[in-house]
Amino acid sequence: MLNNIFKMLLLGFVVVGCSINNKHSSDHRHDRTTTPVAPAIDYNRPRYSEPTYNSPRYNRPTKRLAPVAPAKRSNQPIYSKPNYRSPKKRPLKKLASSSAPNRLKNNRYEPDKKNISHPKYLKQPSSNYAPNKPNSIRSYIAEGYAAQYKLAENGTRTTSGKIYDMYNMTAAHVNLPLMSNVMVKNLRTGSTVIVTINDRLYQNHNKNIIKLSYAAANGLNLLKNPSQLLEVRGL
Amino acid sequence: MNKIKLVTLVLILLSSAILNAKVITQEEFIDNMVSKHNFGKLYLTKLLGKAKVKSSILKIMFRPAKKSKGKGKPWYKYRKIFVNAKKIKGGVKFWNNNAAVLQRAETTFGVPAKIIVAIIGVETIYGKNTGGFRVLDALTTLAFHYPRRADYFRQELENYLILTHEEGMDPLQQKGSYAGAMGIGQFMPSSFRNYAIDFDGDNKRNIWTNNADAIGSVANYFNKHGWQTGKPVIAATKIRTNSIKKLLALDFAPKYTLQQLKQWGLLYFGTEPNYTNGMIIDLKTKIGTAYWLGFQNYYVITRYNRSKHYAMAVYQLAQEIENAK
Repeated sequence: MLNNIFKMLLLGFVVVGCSINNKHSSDHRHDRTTTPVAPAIDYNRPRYSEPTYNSPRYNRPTKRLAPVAPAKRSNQPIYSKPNYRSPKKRPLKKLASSSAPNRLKNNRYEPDKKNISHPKYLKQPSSNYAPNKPNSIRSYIAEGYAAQYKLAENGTRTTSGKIYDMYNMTAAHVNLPLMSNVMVKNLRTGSTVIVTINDRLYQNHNKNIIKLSYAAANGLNLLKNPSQLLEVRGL
Repeated sequence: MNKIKLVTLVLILLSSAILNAKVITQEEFIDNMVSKHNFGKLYLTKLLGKAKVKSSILKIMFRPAKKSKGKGKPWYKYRKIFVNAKKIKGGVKFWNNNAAVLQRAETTFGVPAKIIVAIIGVETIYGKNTGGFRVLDALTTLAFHYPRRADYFRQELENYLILTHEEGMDPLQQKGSYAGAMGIGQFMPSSFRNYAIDFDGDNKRNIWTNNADAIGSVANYFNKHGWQTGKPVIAATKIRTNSIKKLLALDFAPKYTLQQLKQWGLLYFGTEPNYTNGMIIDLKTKIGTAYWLGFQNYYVITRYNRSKHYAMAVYQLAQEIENAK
């Protein structure tokens, strides 16, 4: 008997719950049918116009910055000596495995970050340099290494449309304007050449700032030992 | 054995007979000159009797290619002799000293000043080394004692005798190189008669000491051989690897058009139209063999000295001098 009563009660609860649920859902449906939420599409509104947001988040007033005064011309000369200390004067410390264990990683020499004289941490091209601006060529100074054209590239067309000739004084650069002249100096030997940039250097590996023709590399004594530190100056 | 010896003897005799038949002796040459150009026989025999046979000239002509200055050397060694800092510096100096004359030559003959300067630089180091041999000595030794090119040098001797008569010069006085090339531009007697000019208005073709005459003569030489003003001299090219042999076997002259050469495997990326004529030049650099396309103007430079290395050295020296100026 008790069991039967229990079952009945349970059934009753279930029925009541269902009915409540049904009632609720039916109410909701009833509401939606009476007051539609979806707004009618206004086809006269221009397309791609900015949506209007009413929420306060988008109407937040923007901060106005104080007007910036135009930069004055400094009296400093355009040619400034590069911030460079030659590695000859200050040779790198000897590799002592006990004192500096973190320098050798995967059998590859990793220079100490504190040692600023290493070319890896030398000053990058100056901040007043802006590409595609012919006035800025003169203020361009950079230091780094050079790539070289291969023999098979003799007779191919460069970006400027001229044919690469291995005996011409030309070079490829990442962003200096085409047909501009730069002076390249070998900082170890002191020899200089003037090359015309007539090509683009696309594979700009971190260490190569310029790609030199055979004649230019020969003038800088780079044929036997290509990894020598160079300085590139706009003319 | 005896038979073989006999055969060889007969062969030697025959060959010597043939060689002897070809060689024209000095007396025959004089007779020829007398009958052809009305020279006095006594005068010529006396004059050629005063000429000395120089053994040093024959030594130079017979020396092996290894010891010679430029012949037989790969391009990168040849280039060092003619395209170096000394020559470039001297060229700039020569250009500055003779700027007005060079400008006049460029406007009248259409030959760029840099090419004239480079030719004079390569030939005589800007007039410093015009040769220490007497021209008559050099020409007689080569005409009668150097059978390989006797015909050519006999003609030059003939031209030289006429030339000295025309110009009113003493044939024993003039000096030149071991091959008889004379003056700042190193003109052979035949080219002197055809191409040397008076470029400063003193009615004398003095190419030994007068820079103006030498410059004008060189410009005239190029102009008469078909220099194209404002056209390129050479351009770097690529060649398909399987057609290198075929293209390099072609004649040493711009006979074929770019259209034909491209069909045979030339990979040229320049802007020259397809109907321009070209020839292919291969040069051994330090890093490997590279190829260039020579145009009509390149061929004209080879008329001065028939060598691909010579013409290339002249062009590159001209470019370097222009850059350094």
